[in-house]
Amino acid sequence: MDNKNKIIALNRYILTLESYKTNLNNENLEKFETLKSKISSLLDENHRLRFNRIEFYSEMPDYSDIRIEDLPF
Amino acid sequence: MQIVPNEKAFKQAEAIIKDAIFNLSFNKSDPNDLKLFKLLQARLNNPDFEIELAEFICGEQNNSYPYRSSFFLTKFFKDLGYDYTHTGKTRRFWVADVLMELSVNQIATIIEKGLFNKRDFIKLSKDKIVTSVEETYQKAISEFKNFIDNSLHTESSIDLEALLDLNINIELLFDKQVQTEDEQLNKLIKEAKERFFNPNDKQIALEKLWDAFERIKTYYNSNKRQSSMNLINNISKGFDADTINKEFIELTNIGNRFRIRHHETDKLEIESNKHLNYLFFRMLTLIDLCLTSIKENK
Repeated sequence: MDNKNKIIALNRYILTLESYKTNLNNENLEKFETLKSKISSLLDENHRLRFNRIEFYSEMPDYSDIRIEDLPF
Repeated sequence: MQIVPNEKAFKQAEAIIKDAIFNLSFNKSDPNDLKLFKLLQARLNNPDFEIELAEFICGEQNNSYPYRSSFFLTKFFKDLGYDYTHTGKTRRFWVADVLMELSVNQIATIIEKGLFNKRDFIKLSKDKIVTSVEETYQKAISEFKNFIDNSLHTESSIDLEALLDLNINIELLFDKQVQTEDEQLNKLIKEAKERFFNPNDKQIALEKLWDAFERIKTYYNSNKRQSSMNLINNISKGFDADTINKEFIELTNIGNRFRIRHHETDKLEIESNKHLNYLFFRMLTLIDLCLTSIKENK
């Protein structure tokens, strides 16, 4: 891909990335990881290193479906 | 498991992508773009770029910048149009986190309009009694230059300062691939250009370029005089052979008088970078003219 098309694609990915900022969840996680790979593949080595170090989310145990009999007391 | 997005991380990613876009699109002949390019190289080369810059913004004890308390740090960013509020985290870590979210373009504005805002030096300077504001300001500039130099030279040693100072023909240096039939000549020119970027290698770059000049004189055959005349005639088509001939002689003499081709004690040293740069580009321009003519006359 030439630089002009890379720039167009990266500008588009900024907007796509923005849509995940508050809306990232288990359902769209796979798509999000694909997006990350696509972005990463367009970056030069130095920027790719910085980009790949970013932790976009953390995983927390989901307590909403814990049954009462699972509780230790 | 529940996914919790990290909003700051998304902002950091956006800044990185914007920097990458700039890197793909910057105009090598625009001084403003070159300035940003230099800053971006410093950022990419130095893993501690943001924290070191943050220490300047905070005005830590070990530098000459005005001390900014929590209130003034928030004000610093607000005045520049950024809605960040310091919330008790260690000041320099908080500022570094903010800087990570900003593109190199935004960081340049912060440096120009915020970090070197003279009013803050007047109002917030740490030791106005011992040192004058102007002295402190100059010291701060020098500290910043060191920071950028150290960042640039930590890994790759690209001397972009020279490029910014000199207004040289960047295309000549960056973009032209030398592809003559003489592999040795191609190698010499390539090595000279590569070495020129390292401030410690400029003398060697000059020597390599002069070697290339001597080599190019024998491009047409091993009789240097005859081959040189051929070359000069080719270059001079539609121009003035006398001017080109004089340039060949003058640059040959410079190579012999100064410590470029020979290293005897009576040879004149070229001590300053500005003269090394001048001779490098004078010779590179002539060699470029030779190469263009060789290509045209193939």
